[in-house]
Amino acid sequence: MNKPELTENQTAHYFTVSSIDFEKSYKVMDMRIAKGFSDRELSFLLGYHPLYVRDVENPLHSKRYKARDTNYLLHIFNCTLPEILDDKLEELTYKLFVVATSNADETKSYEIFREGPNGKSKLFRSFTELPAFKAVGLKSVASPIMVKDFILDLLDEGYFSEPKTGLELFRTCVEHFKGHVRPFFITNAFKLIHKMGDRDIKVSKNEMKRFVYSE
Amino acid sequence: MAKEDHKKIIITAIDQYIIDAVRSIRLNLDLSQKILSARLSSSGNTSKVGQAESVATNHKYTDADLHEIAHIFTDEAMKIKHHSGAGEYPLDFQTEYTLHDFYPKEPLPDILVVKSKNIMISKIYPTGAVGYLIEETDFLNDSRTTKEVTEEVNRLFEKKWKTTDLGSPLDRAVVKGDLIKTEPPLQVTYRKSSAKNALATE
Repeated sequence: MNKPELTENQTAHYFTVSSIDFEKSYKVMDMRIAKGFSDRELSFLLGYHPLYVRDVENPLHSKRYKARDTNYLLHIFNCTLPEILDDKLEELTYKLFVVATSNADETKSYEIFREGPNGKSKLFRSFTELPAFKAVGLKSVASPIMVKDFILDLLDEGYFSEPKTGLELFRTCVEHFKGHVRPFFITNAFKLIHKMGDRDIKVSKNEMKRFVYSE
Repeated sequence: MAKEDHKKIIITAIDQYIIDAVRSIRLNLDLSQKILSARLSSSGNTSKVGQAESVATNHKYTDADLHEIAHIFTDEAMKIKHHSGAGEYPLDFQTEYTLHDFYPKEPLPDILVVKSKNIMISKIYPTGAVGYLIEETDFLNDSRTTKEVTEEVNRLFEKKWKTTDLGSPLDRAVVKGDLIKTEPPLQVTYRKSSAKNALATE
């Protein structure tokens, strides 16, 4: 690939990655968007740090989903393995060329080019990171206040006497509201309840090193 | 079928499943830990497979490893099929492997398990069963008839194989130098070669 003309807010990167890991990152990204989750919301459902998924999807970051994540993602998405993991690819590695652009709103955009067998690069994917707290596609059937009130009810009922994962909590909300609920509204509810002063939800990690929530 | 270990290394259930699946297919294809490790170019670690299968370490496979292993298994299975005579391998002998062969059909519970050494009964062929007997048990330290070997693997893996299913795998282990065979007019028996016995007791 010829040296691209870059603007001041752009950087160019050439490197090689594991093809199967790289494809998986973006198959999961597609599934995440189809299911209506932002990257931070999927991190919450995985029980990881809020920026975990954003890092996996960042082509310049070395973080990748492990087998334990793949298995858990099947639970989260309620999908089949081929939907998020290719069975086999001809090439073990991809040679990539990435142009990263820093945007005014502090997000980054990426143009990812993959070198083909003939040495010519073709656009593999381009996308812009979602700003924090921005929703993806699906509309929540419950408002932030409704979710907060429901979580307060759960606190009263002793639901949090045993630690709950983000996924368990999300499923409880979906079942109660009978439709999609933004996981962001759940984490937001924790903050609102904390601000109220008299109740609090503690965060710790379970044996799988996922965040869990308890009273 | 698990071998207990007192060191109790803990890994996730999915990592354990994957290690067991790779091991079962590796034995079917008659690939030793060392040979498979050496062919994994990505690792640069000649004991990668041994470490993943060992109950004394928490090593496991990455998807990049599994992808490469799927390619190696496919190449090896194709070679075996190409060089084998009719009837030497089952009619349904798999020659194309993918990552999905190493993952379960349904997601597993998100739990930790004590790392153990297992064979997947659903995936094992007679060649893998003979490899298991040689690598993991003392059964072939004594001379055994084909019938005795067949009964033992049928017992271990809950199979209904016939003695004719085990003949070729046993003879191939003889050619490889892993087993010694007594030929007719004496009763045909197989036992581990002294070299294999020494390795097993290391």
